[in-house]
Amino acid sequence: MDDSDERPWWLSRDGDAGGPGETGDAANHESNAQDGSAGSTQGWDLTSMLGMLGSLAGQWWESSGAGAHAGHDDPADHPDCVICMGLTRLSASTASEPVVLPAVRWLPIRRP
Amino acid sequence: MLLASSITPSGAVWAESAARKAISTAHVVDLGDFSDHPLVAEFSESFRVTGASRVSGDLSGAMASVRRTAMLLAAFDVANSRVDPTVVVVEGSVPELVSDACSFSALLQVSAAETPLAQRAKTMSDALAGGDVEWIVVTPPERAAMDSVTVQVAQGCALGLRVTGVVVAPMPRKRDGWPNKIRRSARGLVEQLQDRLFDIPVQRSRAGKVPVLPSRAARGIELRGAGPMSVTISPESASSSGSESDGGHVLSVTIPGLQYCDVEVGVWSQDPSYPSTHIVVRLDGVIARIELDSTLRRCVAVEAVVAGDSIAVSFRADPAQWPEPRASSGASDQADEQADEREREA
Repeated sequence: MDDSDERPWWLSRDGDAGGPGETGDAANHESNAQDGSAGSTQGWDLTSMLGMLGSLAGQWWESSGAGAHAGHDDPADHPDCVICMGLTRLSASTASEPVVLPAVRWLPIRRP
Repeated sequence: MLLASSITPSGAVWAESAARKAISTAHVVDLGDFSDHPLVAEFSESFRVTGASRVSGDLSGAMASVRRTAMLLAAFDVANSRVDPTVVVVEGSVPELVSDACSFSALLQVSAAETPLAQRAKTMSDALAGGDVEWIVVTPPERAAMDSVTVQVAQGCALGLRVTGVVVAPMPRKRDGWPNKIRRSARGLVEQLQDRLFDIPVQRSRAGKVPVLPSRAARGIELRGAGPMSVTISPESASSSGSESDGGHVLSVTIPGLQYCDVEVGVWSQDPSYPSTHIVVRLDGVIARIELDSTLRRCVAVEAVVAGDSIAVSFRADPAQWPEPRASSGASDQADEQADEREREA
């Protein structure tokens, strides 16, 4: 397997997020990048890459449950929420056991 | 160390002046001067406040309380390291400050007694509760202020502060154009306060000058023992309980100004092996803990009787805390002696 097989998937010309080895010719890509017209004429360019990254970020945001987390008050009440779970674990790992003073036993008062 | 405070903000100048006059050689500082002291951050970081989203109002008060306690601790450290006496001018209620300081110290004893910070806090709270710290408070000759100072003095005494005195200032003067009726009324209020706070020196300003209060530190007297509060423990008499005395005890506490306070009495245990280690007295919301001796720690508090300026708390012996009665062993000893005598006669 030569080096071209190990190029990252996001160098694919057709814009699909294919796996390793499914991309086009690396030499062609380099020449396209140098001629200055790649942004408008070729299937893949900086704009589309940014758009793709944005799309992926959106997918991750949706799958993570972060949007739904906005309405969560107490992390302990939402164990299924990824963010709440993280926050709960984080606080559990740093906080020590709370110390509470023993309660006062108030006595009945008699006033002669 | 001498603390100086005033019931009203405008009286702070009089408080400082009275403290300077009581101890002419004193090193005078303001509690606020210690707001940037490193100890404040160190002390504040020792406490985490939980449930902040639900008690935001309390949180603000709690943080202020922690900061003021830390500033008092810093002032106490400075005072302890100096040869000459230190006067600390305090804005706001001294009993509330001292009560908070003692509560935080108790919390540290329970949670982290071995840490240097906890030991420093304990040294301070022991000095406060043991009558080693003096206090001068200033009030104007106004009825509501007099009521406030009465309650504060009672709270201070319960906390163990040695109340050097109450200064009533400024008094209305003839040369300032105050009519005779108002001047007489102000003097009447001072006399009333003197009656309320027996044993506590109450003096008014004269001719616009602050009186000289008898500070013990100024006279080189080492402060030892309790302040104006008196605590006595006595065996419970048969007549008072209406039955045979069964080993019960009565703890009597006398506090000047107590009858003008909203009083609650309870017991509290710092050591789980005893039913109670402290009597807790809450006067108008300020909590004071009075340590019990080894006998009363092994007893169970039954009730409190509040009469005038005194509180009497009755205790019953806790059977679980006392060894088996000696009667049975004495009887067996007697039986052994009789057996020995029979053997000798034989």
